[in-house]
Amino acid sequence: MTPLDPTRLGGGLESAVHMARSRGFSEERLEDIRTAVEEACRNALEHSGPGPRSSTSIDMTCEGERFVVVVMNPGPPFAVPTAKPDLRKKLDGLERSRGWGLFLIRSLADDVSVISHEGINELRIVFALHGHHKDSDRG
Amino acid sequence: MADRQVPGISAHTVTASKEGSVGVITLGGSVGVEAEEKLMAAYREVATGAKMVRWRFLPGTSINSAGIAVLITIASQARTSRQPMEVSGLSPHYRKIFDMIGLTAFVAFVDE
Repeated sequence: MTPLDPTRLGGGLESAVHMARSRGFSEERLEDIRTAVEEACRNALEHSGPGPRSSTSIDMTCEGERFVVVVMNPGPPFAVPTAKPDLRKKLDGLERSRGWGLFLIRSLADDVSVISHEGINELRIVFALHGHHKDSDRG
Repeated sequence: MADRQVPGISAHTVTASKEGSVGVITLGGSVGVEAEEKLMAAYREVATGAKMVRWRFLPGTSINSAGIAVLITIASQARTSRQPMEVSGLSPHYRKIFDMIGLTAFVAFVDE
């Protein structure tokens, strides 16, 4: 695991793109990967609670034809939402306008899961070389 | 809010202008929550007297979810003022993101 450094986020994202490109992901999917990983990293940095600095970290591996990114942060447990945020409510001022990060990660990746244990959240994002992002949530 | 540039992620740019009755907000670089103050100020500057507001994305512009949330806040205010929103220059990737979020139902895409 590599500690997440907000001042070096750009370099980390480029490393993810470089690693995925070397495995044969298309340029379109590389943009998906860059966006999803940036959202995951920013979420982790924004919501990290007290804990060792090294607890907020990222790990990237290639498992066969899958590119797997794991982002860990100390903080309150959270779940990947299954429902799409309600844009109309946000436009009508009935909900705050933020809250799209995890939705975008789920929409752009092939699989997303989170495990929370002893105050540490582990967000696992999987991109399949021959996968495709989901269209079912578009509205 | 002060600008915070992250190495490897380009700084955002935001400019406001008027083209006839269209208020134009031009965005460049990496747009995130750090751009909120400039975006809101740009909207206030162009909104008065504008019949329509256009977000013009320069080539290579990226925008994260926090930046999109700021645009949603502006879109909400524009709807209250009955100012239709237009978007130009958005890359296919971010057009896909707008589609996922549902923004494409509320803004018109125009070619410039």
